[in-house]
Amino acid sequence: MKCKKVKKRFVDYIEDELKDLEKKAIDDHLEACHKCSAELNGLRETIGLTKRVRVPRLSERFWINFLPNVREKIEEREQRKQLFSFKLVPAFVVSLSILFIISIFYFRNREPNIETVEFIESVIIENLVNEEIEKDAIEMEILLEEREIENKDISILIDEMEEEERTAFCKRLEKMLKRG
Amino acid sequence: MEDRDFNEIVRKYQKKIYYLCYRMVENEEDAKDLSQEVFVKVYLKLKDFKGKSSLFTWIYRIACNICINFTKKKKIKFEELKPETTADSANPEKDLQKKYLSIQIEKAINTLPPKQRAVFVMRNYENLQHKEIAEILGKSLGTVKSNYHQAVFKLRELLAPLSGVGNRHACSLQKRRSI
Repeated sequence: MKCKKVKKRFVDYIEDELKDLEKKAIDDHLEACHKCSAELNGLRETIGLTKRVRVPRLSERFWINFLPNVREKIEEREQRKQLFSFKLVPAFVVSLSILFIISIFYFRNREPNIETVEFIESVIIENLVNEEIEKDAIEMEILLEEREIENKDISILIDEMEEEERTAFCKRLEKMLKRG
Repeated sequence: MEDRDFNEIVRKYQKKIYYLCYRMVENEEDAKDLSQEVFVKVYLKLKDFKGKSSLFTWIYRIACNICINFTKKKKIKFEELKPETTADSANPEKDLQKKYLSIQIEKAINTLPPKQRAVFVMRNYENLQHKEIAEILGKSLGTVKSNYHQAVFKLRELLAPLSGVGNRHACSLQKRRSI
């Protein structure tokens, strides 16, 4: 057996956990190898040394109070647990709900910005006017096509008109055409 | 489980658990707190105990986990050698030497990683079998044996200078006093 292999088995050897055959092989090696033998003695000495450390003795009073102290800690822990599950959680939920309700009221009663309202109104009106003008012009074109009117003067006149004027003119023209 | 049963468990294991905690943390006050904490946890988790392992193994597992977590969080400080603590003793030299040795050994044990230390403490001081330790720590038998092997060799390395320290330390103390 080689030293390396023997060293690996030292702890089991000390603890007497080796099979007879392996133990015999190590015994034979130790008789021949002083280095391994010294190392094994060193390990034994170390284990023996560590066993010399004693745990300080505690007073009898400590042991008498041990269980009551544990009980007290358990009670504290359970109270803390109950406090969290039965008091803190509902309190948290209630406070969140209150916050939510307040925020709803706040945003509902808040006055809108006047400038913003005016701007939105102007955009809506502008869109409506444009739509009407466009609609009138299309209708006019259709009418003119239907009547096969090709008058250059009228078209020039219409082109030069302002949108509102053009609408009014077209309406009048339409009436005229309808009348015949 | 009834309260009476729990009281019985506490009475049965309180000292063993305290010793285990002390060996793991090397501090009396911390060991007192931790050993009580172990039983608080035992009480609170008792409903989860399925009986797959023995009650002893289960309680030791809780104790080991609490101590390992504690040692990971807290770096253990050692009391300094205080000669005055032995002033009342009949043989102060010998007591001082013992205390010096104990501190050096505790220091060496505390350099071990928490799990290695747990294995060493349970094997060396609690005299538990490797198989039992494996069950407590939820590790394989091979891992536990390897941990113990490493722990012993590391301690040998650290404590080698203390071999025969008794005489050497006593001599050095005498020299210091004579100066």
